[in-house]
Amino acid sequence: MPRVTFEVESTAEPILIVSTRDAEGRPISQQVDLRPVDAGRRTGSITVANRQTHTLTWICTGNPGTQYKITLEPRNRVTLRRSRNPIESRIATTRLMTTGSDQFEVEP
Amino acid sequence: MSRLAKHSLAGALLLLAANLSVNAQERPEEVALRADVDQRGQSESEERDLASRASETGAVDAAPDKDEVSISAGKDKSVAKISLSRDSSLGRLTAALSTPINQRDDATQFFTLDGPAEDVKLDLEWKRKSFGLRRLPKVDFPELTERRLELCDRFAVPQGTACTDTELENAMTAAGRPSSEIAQALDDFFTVKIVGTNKPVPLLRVIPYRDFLVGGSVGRTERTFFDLPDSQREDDRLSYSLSASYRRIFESSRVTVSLATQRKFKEAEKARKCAVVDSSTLERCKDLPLGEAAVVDSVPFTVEYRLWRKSFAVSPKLAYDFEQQVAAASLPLYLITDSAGKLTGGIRVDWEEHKDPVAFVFVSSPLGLD
Repeated sequence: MPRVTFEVESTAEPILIVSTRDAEGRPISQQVDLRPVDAGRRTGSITVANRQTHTLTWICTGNPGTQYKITLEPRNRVTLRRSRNPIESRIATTRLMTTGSDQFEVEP
Repeated sequence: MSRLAKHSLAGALLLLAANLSVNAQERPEEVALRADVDQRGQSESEERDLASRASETGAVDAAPDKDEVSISAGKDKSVAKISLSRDSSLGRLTAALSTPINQRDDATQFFTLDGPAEDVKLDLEWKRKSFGLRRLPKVDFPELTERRLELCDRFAVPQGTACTDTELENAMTAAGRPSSEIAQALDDFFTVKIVGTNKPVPLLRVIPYRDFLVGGSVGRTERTFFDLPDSQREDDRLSYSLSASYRRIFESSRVTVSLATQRKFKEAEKARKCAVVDSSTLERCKDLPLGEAAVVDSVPFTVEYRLWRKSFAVSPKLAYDFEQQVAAASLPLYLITDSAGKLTGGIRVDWEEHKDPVAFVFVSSPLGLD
């Protein structure tokens, strides 16, 4: 089963949750254990099933306007439904957090 | 509080009538405490500004995310600072050593072979930020993702752009959607469903974000003073502080509760000693405090709430000093933004028990999480 590595570049505090549904349709979620690499960069990996649709949800807390970038590796085998890889956005100037979602599949 | 409201209104009217005072704030979010003001022995106008510094961990608060040597310009004096941070699974530990810039020499010394600089301060802070994940397995994230992607498709968030609250709001604003519809869409975007129920719950209520902060500082300042009858003496007793804070973050607001204990020193009124210059009628004079600096202890408890709105933000703060038994409050209203759209100034009303409220226009660093 392929392993996906997530790298988050931001001064914001992130949390990534990867989910799928089991055979009975119940959601199964796991938090990506992000570890600091250096200032403003964190990375973590999880193992996912081949050719199955997974959902990625992220929450970043930080100062208004803070930008962030989430990269899913290996980039040539991960396909996001909507976003470009890396995912880039920012916290709105009127909020202290941002959240987003997408679906992805990993080729073997 | 009714007295506060009455005095605040009076202060605001006075402000509009004339005498707009403009204060540059180094730490605008810190509220007034009398003990802090008295210790510094400043003039009345300076007192009102300095009164906001209840926190003694300022050097750490302003510390960067990485190890750094920096110089920061302050209102009273510029400070050189060395700060080191270490991240671990238990949180972030930051240490900062600061001393005022030596204006006369090229180098500013923190320590010499004779000991520490005349004025040096060591700050230590441990901060743990965390999401509450207890209810994570119960959240239906696949349903949330499908609903969010449907919202982003419906409101034409460009393909290739991340489906986030920020991009959804931008797309809806660009399309000229009414603010009520934007608010409703964002509400839907921020809401999750719990497995087994169909009840929508705000995301940050199910997965709360909070941080804990414990900090302390020790400062040494060399103080010279006149002792009666006219001898000159020195004193370098240590000032210190210990503080603990808890913060909870919501979509557009933040609540902070903190308790601190601190010891500072208030210098005495100054006296002048003059001596005749040989072979002349001239005099050389020296001004120094008359008597040893007085100890000022305080135990401030503070509650602060920050709220962001489309074009403004407020950050009311209440404080009570258990040692001095004095209450204080401040109400900054942020209205002015910088070129990046961050709020950096506005009008502020400060109130302190047994004193008249003060209203003034302020300029500060951008209002943020910290």
